[in-house]
Amino acid sequence: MPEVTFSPFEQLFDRGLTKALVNIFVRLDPCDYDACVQVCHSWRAFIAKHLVCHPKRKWDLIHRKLPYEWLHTPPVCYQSAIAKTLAPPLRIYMDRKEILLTTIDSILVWNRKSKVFRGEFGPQIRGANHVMIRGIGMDPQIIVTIHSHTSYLVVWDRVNYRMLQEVQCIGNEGIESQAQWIHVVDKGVLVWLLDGSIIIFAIQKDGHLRRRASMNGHIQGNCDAAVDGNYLLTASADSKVNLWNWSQAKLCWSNSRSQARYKKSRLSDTRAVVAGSYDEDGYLQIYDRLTGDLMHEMVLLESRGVQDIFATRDKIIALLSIRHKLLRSKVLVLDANTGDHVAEQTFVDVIAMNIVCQRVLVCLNNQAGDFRSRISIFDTDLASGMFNVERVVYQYAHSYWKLPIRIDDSSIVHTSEEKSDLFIRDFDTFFTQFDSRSLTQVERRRINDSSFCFRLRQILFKKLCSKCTIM
Amino acid sequence: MPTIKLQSSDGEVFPVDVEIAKQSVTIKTMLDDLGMEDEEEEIVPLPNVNAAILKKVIQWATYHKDDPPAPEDDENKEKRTDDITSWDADFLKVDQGTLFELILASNYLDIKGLLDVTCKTVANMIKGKTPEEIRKTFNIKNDFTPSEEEQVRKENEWCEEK
Repeated sequence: MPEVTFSPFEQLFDRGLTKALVNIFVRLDPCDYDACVQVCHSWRAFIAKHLVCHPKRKWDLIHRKLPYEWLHTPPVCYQSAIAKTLAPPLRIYMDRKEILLTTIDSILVWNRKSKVFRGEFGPQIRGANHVMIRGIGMDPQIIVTIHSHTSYLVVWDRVNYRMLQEVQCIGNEGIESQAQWIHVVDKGVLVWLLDGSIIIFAIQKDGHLRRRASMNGHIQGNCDAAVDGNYLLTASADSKVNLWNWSQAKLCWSNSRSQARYKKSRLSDTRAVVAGSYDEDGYLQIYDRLTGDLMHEMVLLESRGVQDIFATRDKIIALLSIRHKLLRSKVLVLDANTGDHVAEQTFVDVIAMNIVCQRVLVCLNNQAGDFRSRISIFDTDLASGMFNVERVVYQYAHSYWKLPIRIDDSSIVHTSEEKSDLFIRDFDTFFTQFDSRSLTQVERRRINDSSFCFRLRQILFKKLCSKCTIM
Repeated sequence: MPTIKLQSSDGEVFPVDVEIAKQSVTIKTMLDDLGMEDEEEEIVPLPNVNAAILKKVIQWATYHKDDPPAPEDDENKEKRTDDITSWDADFLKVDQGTLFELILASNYLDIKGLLDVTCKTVANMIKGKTPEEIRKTFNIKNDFTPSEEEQVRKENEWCEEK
């Protein structure tokens, strides 16, 4: 092979041929990536920009890291801060910046990147002495908490976790009402009140909330909601499923099924999925997101309810509790377009589940002979519908059978009641450690210049048009 | 069979069957949009592809003229590099300059099959190599300072084979 005097890769980088470069790098194995990020600045920047979040590459990393490291070493424990609180941990919330763990009356905060414990804050709500944290909404600038026994929601500054604002929730009838769930959306907060109102708050520049609009929601019972972009799907025990455009405070469509008591709702690109129960039977309905037409309905006879549902571009995944079998769960995979059954798997007792890189990660509460539960995570390839139940990729023995656990595409986070510690396992250290601010201006421009191909076509078309007479 | 004439950046003209030329989405779009299909004498200028590379591209497209259309990219599908046919492997036994010119040309002409196989070949050249070996293979300058190099190495320590 003749010796080259310049790097041929420079041509691809200089001309911003992102598609071709991704096509090359996405075919590499995790260890090749790690060699590649050590080659030079432009390779490192490109991989960080275009491949760190690529599903294929992320899954390669997770797949490699789980069996190698997680199964054979104890998880890293971060700060015995929970032990200082009297209340047991209830729920874990996290975004790219921080991990929040709620107890009954306080919230503990860890920095997600450094894992440093930042502190604890507890809502002191006006006019209420014994409030429980019911839910948290996380915005890059603020945290919003909703509580039991009070109609106030509280806004916290994320820089110092000081209370910024208390907002009393007044429903559409003009009566104060408690918030039941909260969703943080782009520059806004959506809150569903017990009286059925959905209130839309705008987040102002100083972090304070301003009531922008309200919608008449459901009339009674529990309501579940899913948000995607400007759309909000709500489903309730009042037998109604509604799709809203929250940015315009407008109802897009509403559908009602008598006796249906909806408990869960999800949105995918093209589908709205809801699940609930008719008396004892669980059921699942798939609606066309655009029109609201009911496309498929499945009665899940052996189920006594749907614990959770997930919707990807082409699959619906439901987590069911099995009737007459205590602590038995089933994961059911359906085709989103046809409603056809793709795969199913019965597990001992699923306590947490998530879809990561098109795989189902299932976290089990698997009581073994020593009467201690185990967290076991299995993976499923949604593309083939194959459950890989033979391979346990993570195990951690504990005896508290409903401990909080959260899985996302970067980490698994859980607690233990014994030491009252927080355990964090990152799937991808490179992802959490890379800081795009370290890129130079030139590197950023180079990365962003992906319009090369389009410009070439424009030139070519101009030349062609000058040669042709178009009738 | 109708033909069109493709003109390389250095002026050489190659008569090509329309069906073969249409493996290029760029050319197909031009022919469809400008209604040039029946204009046998029309010359399509390709200002970003020189004669040597255009000749190779036509050779590849001619061999693969009866292949089914390449499937749409699925981000989650396994991206293999060990499924290059022996004909393609022989076809791509060229110097690095030519290989990368073929990547540029297939990207510009939007020929997915050729882009995939050339990218697979380059990926195979990277696989299993150390950073230093990659730099040597592709003549890349190491622009990391020793401390940066140490930091990057530390970040990726977990992945090293034990």
